Amino acid sequence: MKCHDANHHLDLFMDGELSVPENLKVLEHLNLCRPCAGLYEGEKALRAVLRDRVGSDKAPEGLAEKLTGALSGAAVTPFARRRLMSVAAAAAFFIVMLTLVFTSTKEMPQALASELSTKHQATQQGFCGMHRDDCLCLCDRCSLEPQSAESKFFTERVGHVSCSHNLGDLGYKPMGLQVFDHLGQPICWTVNRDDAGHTISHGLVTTKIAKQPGPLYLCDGVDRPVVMVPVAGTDKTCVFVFDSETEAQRFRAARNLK
Amino acid sequence: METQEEFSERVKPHLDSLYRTALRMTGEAAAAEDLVQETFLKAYRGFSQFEPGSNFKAWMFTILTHAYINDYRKRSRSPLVTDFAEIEPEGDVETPHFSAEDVEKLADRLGDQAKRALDRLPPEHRLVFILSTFEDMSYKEISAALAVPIGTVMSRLFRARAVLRRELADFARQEGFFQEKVDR
Repeated sequence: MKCHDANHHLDLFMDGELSVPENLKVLEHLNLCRPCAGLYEGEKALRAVLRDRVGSDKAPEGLAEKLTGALSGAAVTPFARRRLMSVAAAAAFFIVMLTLVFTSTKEMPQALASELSTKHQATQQGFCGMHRDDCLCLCDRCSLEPQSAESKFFTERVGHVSCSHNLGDLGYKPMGLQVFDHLGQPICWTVNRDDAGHTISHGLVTTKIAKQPGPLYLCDGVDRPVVMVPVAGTDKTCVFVFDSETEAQRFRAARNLK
Repeated sequence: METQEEFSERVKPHLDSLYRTALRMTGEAAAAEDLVQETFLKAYRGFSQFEPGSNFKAWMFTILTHAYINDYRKRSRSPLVTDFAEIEPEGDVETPHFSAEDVEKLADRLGDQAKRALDRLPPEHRLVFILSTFEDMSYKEISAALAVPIGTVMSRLFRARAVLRRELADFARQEGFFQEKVDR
């Protein structure tokens, strides 16, 4: 093993993530090579200092007793339920609102725009807890028809075609939609939900952004399985984000994706 | 189902770990206690899903990270959006290394520099760094806890370490004792 390889493997070595033969090779090299051994000693010392200075806080006195106490009494409303309720409330509000608005379909875009500009802030907060002034929220507006009033509305309003997929065959209903600017690119982000509360989020982004390393750091897409579907004949990729690998697999199977 | 007392006893040895992770992620003691309590209650209610013989600490951290990502983080005002631009490109970036002597000098003058450098990392990177470096979780355990691929765990971890090394090297240079040793 050369110095370059040993250094390259040093983090993995120290994290205990190498296979037994690889581990032996690094050990062997460190025994033979003074500069690499120096690097190793430095890194080891640095980790020890960090652990000592940053990673050694203790739980406050009495926390254990407090927790045990919480088990036997305290009706704590789980945050998740609270959040779900706020999302559900926002969704219900919009469904009611849209039902009212869409009774006169011809005026929809204008009516929608005026409702949106007064109400979208509250929805955003219920939706993902973040405030963005460049964000539009809608519910139940996914459509497969490019000429639909909703699509036209988005094209006019934000100069961007919405990402619309019918996921009804998987039991999902459209829940909401946001358009926001990400690295200078408008991203239209749609969330679908099934009766069990699973969500699929999907957005249309340029293929360049989609191919950036790492997962998409989007409001509803953090740390979940992602499936990317390039849109034929365009520079766009649709990015689907799932609650679980099971949901992702179900989607892949239903869409004949690998 | 375990009794409440048995469950509490089982959690006790991991309480410091859970609390300090929660503290570094939320940034304040009260929020950290809330997060630990939420984790504790969720773990108790969901204990039937724990596979006997598997790693209990890793299981607790899975619940903690879920609670943090899904609930705490989204309720807080700060956006969970990290621009791609914030993510540093691979390669061609300085990766300084400390000698053991440098680290000794660093330790003498460090103050809360390291804490602040860690707190400045994007939460996703900070979490992976803490779980690996302080809590000795394997990449596989972290991958399971965060529901992200191992490759993602590794890239976050290595980026976090590179950023911390750089920030500490900057500090050491200001203090005037860092011997340049740039390689890899």
